[in-house]
Amino acid sequence: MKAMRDELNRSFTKLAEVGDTRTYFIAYSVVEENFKKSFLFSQGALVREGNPHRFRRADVEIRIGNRSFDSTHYLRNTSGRVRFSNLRPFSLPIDDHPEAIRAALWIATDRSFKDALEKLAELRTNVSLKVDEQDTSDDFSKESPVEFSQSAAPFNPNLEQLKFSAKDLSRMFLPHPWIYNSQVNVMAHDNVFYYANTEGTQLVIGENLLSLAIHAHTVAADGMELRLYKNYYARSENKLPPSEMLRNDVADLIQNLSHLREAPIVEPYSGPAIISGRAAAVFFHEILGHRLEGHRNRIVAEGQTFVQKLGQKILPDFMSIVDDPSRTEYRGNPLNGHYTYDDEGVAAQNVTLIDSGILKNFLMCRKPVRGFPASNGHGRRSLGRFAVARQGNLIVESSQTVSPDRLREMLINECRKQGKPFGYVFLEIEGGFTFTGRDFPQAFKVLPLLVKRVYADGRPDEWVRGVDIVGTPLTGLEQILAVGDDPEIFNGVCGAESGSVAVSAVSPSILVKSIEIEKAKHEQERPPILPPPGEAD
Amino acid sequence: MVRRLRVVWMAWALAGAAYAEPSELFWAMEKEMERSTRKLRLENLDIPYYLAYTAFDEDGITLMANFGALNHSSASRQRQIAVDLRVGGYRFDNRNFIGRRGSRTELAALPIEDDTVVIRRALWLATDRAFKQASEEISAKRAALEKQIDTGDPLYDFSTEAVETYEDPPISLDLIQTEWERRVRSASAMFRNYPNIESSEIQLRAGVATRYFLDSEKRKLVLRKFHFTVEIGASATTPDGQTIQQGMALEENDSVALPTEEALQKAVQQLAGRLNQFYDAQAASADYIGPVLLSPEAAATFLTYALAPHLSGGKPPVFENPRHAQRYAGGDFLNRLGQKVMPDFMTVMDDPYQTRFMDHAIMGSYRYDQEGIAGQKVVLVEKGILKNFLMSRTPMNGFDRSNGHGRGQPSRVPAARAGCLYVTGKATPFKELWEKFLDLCRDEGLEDGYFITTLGPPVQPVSRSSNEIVLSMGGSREKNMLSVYGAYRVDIASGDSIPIRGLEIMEPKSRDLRLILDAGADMTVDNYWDDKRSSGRIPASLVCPSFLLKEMEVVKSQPEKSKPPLLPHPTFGTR
Repeated sequence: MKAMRDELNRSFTKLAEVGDTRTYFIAYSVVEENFKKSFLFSQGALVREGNPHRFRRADVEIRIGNRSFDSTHYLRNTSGRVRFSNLRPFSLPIDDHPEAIRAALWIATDRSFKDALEKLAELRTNVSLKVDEQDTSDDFSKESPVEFSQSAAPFNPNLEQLKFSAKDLSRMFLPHPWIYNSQVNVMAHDNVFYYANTEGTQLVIGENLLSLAIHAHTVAADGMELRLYKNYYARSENKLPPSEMLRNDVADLIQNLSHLREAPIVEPYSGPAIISGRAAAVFFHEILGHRLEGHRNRIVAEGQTFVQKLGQKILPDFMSIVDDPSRTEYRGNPLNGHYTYDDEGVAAQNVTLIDSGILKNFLMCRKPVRGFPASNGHGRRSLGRFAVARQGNLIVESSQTVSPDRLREMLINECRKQGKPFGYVFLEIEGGFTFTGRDFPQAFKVLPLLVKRVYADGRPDEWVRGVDIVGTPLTGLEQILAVGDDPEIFNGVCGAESGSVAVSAVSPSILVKSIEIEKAKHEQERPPILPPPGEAD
Repeated sequence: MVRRLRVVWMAWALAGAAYAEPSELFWAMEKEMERSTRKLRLENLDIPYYLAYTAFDEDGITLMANFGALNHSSASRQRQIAVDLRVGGYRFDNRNFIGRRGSRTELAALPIEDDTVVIRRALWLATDRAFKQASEEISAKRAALEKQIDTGDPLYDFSTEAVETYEDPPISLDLIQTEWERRVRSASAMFRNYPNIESSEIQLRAGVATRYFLDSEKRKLVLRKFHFTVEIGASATTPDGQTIQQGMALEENDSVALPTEEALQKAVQQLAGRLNQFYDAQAASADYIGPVLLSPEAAATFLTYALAPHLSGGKPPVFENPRHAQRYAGGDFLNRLGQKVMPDFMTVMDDPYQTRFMDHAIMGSYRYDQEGIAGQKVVLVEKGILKNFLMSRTPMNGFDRSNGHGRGQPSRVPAARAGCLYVTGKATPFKELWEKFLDLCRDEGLEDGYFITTLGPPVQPVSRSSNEIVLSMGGSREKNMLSVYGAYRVDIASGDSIPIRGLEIMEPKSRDLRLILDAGADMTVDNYWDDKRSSGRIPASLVCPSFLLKEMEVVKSQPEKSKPPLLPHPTFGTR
């Protein structure tokens, strides 16, 4: 840290005035990952064992110009799209050797400075050539400097025990040779994020991470590839679910995969459906969350679905949504999207996005938009990218809820009312994606993994496969009829223009009046020709 | 390792039973192979007639350091299996065909534990995929041939070869990671004595690679190879904006002959000294055409372009897209058997079996090739006349057998390639060569000539490092140019020479071999990664002397004019 500080001060003083340009901001970010161990098992056998190692990656952000117009200004092309410029990450010594660290920062700072100069020259031409911008906000918000240091709790997970339980879980797949591939991956590491900028902000934040990822794969008789996942994240060993529960989850996963293999492929449909908590969480992350990321409001090529909807009702009045990265847990379960300071050194804030159905706010990074001059601690990125506003822990809550059983009754009633023979329940989803630009429809897609058909006439439920949920945001949000009292957490990683960041979304299950499903893409490779080894050979 | 190998050479008839073998891995491979060759059938489709499994087991360490500090240190172990499956028959099969997918084998991860149930399942699924792939390939190959004139090709697609069984003795891997961390750190700290070096890096990779080979013709091989490489790279920017890079590598294949700490430090000093020499050197002011003397190192690089790619035999593949034929074109010598391809004092042979030459490790050496065929010594060029080709199991007219040169990276179908080429000439003493060079220049009325000591592709070996500081800088941007990393301008009148920076040459072509006027007595071993072919990246070696070339075009490189860093180095602030 001292090495960072020293080199930062030296660079800032010396680079401040080179020629006719002014460097007004430099920030160093360093991500240190200390791998304790990782184990990858396939069907009970060890495939890879990652040994302890550490690496440090860093990048340098330099802003030339001034707050109202600097070298990070959005560069527009003919259709108004913005080219996001990248930073160049580099590796830093893992030894705490100040001279070697400073030597690496020195050469990287020099390179970033030259990149920024080039960018600024390009921008000046760009601004002259294009029409005036609609949003003339500054390029960089003013934030007060902070100094914060927090080391992670001592982290000495019992690696042998973790290895043993991973192997044990993985062995559960062994009696099922029709599961062509299964993986149980345990990884333990602690990360330290170092950040220093020329405004005086200085952060050292440690974090422990234990992850357990389970994945199973098979192929249906018609060639469709079927996959199910189960991921767990925890900041300490005792926060992982107990082994009995993990074993039950794996048993469920195997059973669900076997149901799916036998399940029929369904035809496109539109009608009432229940989206269970985890699936609904992704639904809100995609259709709402990404459209409330504030920086999009100043990009002409973006859909800007909600820019003019501030203060208006966009959801039923019993629903509220916040994004609160400062929370580490939700009802005792870890939230993966937690952070204390964002990647621009701004404290994470609890932002009320929707209050009783009314749109109240946007997620903000340090790139201001009209009416929102300051960051609210949502500037996030992976190394090598410039930060934009991103989600952290998106939490959907409702003042009126019903029990899952009641929600199911309501689904059946809704089917009858609409004259539909059946509705759908979406239980697990793989993820989803959405287009926020104007070149494509403002559509979203949620990719369900586990889907059940619920009949209005009381026939037993039926598993189905091969469907994707499609929709458009404004219509999608209008369809919500009721909300369950069973919030669930989706922990995952979200990729967007500023890279991959850890996110969580929490939502109860929701009943929607109408949802559209379409056929999912479908592989054509036939299952293995020979039976599994050991059987009838 | 060389010593141990000699022991084995005498005892290899006994091998197979003598060493502790992961019999479980072979048992699983045998079981799946037997079942697959007997039962893997689909109606109306060709049957598998040849199946080979190669398990690659890699155990090793990777370290990186710069400026006295470690950047990376890790140890890893992994196993992969490559499945090579041929459908049809020896006469016509799915191979020797470049389709949409290139020419690949099926590669899958294997557990590092000898768990036969799990290994068999991995083999089962990979074999299944390989069979489906092979079936698609053979039908695409037939379709492609429909469009071509039927030449009634009498050549088989796959040759018949002797079957062997062999096992290398175990190699104990006793590299102490922390000890090598310390050595690499201390060596990289030597760069602290050279203030004008902007960035530097040392990378160490070492380990044991074991290959378990089993095929349906009953070859069974266990091949073990120790490898150790330290790459050192550094760069600096001259005041006039030119990036100077130097790189070198220390390689060893004998686990008891590893470089000492002092040797590493000495190498760094040598490299840094060389870098400084060219940092302070005069920038080239004009292009040059005329006689050039190449050191053995520069001659080796010259030959990796002008000679090595042209010695492979094998019938030309069938192309799904005829436009690709250009890219995969065979060597220049395919139709020149019995013709003069080099000056008549030159001889070229390939001998993959030798693991050392004088005191140097030959990293391209091997005992059995990727197709399980024993590597043979092949005389390719004798007194300048092309006598033979490097052959894999893909035959060609007049060459119906492999000579053990079927090579490729694990995921690719092997093709004929060099292991270690030995190029010899007149063995003229260097002093005489030097005089000859001066005379030649004098005869042409030149005031200066060039002595080139290091040539290389525009990016140095450090390019594979994770430290972009070294890499992103660099040399020539022209694809078909080679950077001259070490050049001396020799004043013909006095015989004095001075270093010159900022030069490049055209990539040497096979016709340039005719320009060799004389070859020295000094020999060197050049180990390099050969990655210019469709069968992927493989280690290869070249042993050769210095050359006197009648003529070479040495041109001034495009000026870069990248500004040197605006601030001085943080440690050497006063520069």
